[in-house]
Amino acid sequence: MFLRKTLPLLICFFCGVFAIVGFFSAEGTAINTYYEKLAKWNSIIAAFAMLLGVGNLIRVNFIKITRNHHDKIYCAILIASLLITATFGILGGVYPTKIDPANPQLMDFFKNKCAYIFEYMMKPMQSTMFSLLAFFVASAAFRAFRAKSFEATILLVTAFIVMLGRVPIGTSIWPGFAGISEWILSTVNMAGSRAITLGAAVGATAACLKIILGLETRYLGGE
Amino acid sequence: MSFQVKLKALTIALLVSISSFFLLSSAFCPIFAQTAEISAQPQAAQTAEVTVTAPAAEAAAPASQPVPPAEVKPEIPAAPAEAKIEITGELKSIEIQAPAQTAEITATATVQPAQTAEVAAPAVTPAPAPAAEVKPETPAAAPAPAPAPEAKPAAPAKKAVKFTATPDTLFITPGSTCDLSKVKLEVKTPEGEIKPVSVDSWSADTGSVNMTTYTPPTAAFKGTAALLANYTYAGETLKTELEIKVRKPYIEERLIVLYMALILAIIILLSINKATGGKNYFIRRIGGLNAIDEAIGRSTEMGKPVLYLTGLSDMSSISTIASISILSYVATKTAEYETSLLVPCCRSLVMNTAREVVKESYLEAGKPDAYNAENIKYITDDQFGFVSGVDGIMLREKPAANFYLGHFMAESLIYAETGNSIGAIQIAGTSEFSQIPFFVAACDYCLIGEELFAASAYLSRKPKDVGTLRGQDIAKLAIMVIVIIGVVLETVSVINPGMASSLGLYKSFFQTK
Repeated sequence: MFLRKTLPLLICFFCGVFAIVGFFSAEGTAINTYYEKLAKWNSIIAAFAMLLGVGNLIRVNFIKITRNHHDKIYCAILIASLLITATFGILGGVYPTKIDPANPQLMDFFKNKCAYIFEYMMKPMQSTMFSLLAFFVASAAFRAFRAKSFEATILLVTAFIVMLGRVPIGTSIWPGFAGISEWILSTVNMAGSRAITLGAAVGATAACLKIILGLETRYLGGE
Repeated sequence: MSFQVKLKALTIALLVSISSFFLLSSAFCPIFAQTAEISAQPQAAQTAEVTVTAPAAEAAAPASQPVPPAEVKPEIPAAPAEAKIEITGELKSIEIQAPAQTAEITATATVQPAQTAEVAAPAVTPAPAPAAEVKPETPAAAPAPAPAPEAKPAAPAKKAVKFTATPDTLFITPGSTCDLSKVKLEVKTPEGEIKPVSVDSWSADTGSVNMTTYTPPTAAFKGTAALLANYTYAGETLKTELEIKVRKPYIEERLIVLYMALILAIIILLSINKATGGKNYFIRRIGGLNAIDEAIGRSTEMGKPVLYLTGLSDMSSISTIASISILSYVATKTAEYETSLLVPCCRSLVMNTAREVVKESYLEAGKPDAYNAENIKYITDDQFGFVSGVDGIMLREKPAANFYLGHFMAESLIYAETGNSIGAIQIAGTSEFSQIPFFVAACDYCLIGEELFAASAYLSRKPKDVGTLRGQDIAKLAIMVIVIIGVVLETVSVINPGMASSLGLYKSFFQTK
């Protein structure tokens, strides 16, 4: 019980209080120095946790292959991709480097491969997923802007005006669209945005306080 | 033939047409597959315009036959084929216009002396042309670049003596003096030897300094003083800088945040105290949270799993922690209903935390056997890699209820639309303002901003949670009052400019750095 609940809560309390004090301490003070180190520890812990994630990924997919799961081909591709990229990255480095053909090195084969994979495989695939948004925005807007109720009608009209104000054809129809659109975004939208942000900030502060004081323990598992 | 089949046929036909077009284009337009190499040795930032010629026989080669390699020499004037090379600035582009046998090449390049520029260029004739090597060898008539000067062997650089102060910045509080004996002064000799030294003298741009102590100009001085340490080594006076920052041990501009946080903390603690004392508070109905049971029940009836996403952030994000709290409740319900719960994670720490939380919830529900650790898995840290993984799970497993609670970015709409396409009931919640409209548009229920943090209190109804919620509401009320006073002061100062100073004072109280 002590190791599973009390100790984590104590660590959480001391780290939380220390982080708060560190936030207000000036540069160069001992507290501030350790506060900055604490932030670095976070990155180091996250880096170690990556090993857990990779281990889990390999285990889950390897089990699927051994059990002849119908997705086994994808699991095999995933593990192979992971190992190939990791091998090139570890042995050849992540960033592009210059290879001197006059002075061949043992590790030259591995160099630049990881950067190549990132540039010519990862990036295009990421862009492909991101580009799906264009179609999803259209389909979501189509559903959201159906004038089924009074509120939906207001949403439709507002969106229509903002859209007209943001495209050249709108201002050529009536130059006033640009001004109205800008006003909606900078006044009405901004007011709503700040209200939500303030509410979320208060909620986050309260949640932090609960965690630091040990009133919130669900993230440790159980009550 | 159904519409879908027609659409498929049309798509295939379109793809075949596009592929054929590109294949035929590459077959008949050798432009795509040819290169020209330009070797030049101009001086930097010079412009050369060179007219070069290919032999007439090569230029007149029939279109159906490949033209043999043409070596174009700039010295030969007036010929059927012409190449103009302009080299200036950085290597940016190359253009070729190929009317009949005339080639006009415009290349823009910055070439350092004794360097070679290689430019991929399209073909110059309708027939498949070979690689053309154009060598501007400084023809007499053309303003060609001068030959590169021969590199002279550089004289061995004289190694400098390095004089350093460690640390290079010291901090002191206002009204105090700085002890300079703490500064470690070292000289690195040309031989690489590092030896500690004592300074000959100190000088300061402000305040006074002697050999061991720096005194700021006034007791109230706040800012930075620059000190210069002087040391003579082998007859040469060496100098090194030392900064002394005079400041308080805390950041004054942030104090308002501390006061506000303390007030908020006191309000929340008092509210918790009241709630635990038996005071019953009303909590308004939150549709999205009421629908959680309904969504899990629907999944159970349909025999399909429940999908839960905690967002992109790690455990250091408060949104993720709030999401994990809700996951605890959802896991308890799925355990009670014996419904499968899928939790793909974007961060390995979140995966481990989620596993612990779900395992505990299954234990609490008395269904430890129903817990399956493999359902809570790490996919990838990459944003869109994770999106594609989750979309794949949605399309394969077809969950009947999707929960997106946590910190989401651009991928929010991709999840929501994919979930919508499989007919799942969707409950989303994020404190990220820019993503709320997407969730509102595409999901059945949406927790907006603070509702995500209020969810655990709403679901558990425990006094400590309800007290926190009450404290939050009081804090929000206080913020509303502050905002309203600000609006009134702003309006009054517009009508009566004499009030502007009061507004400035009010604003400065809440300004932070």
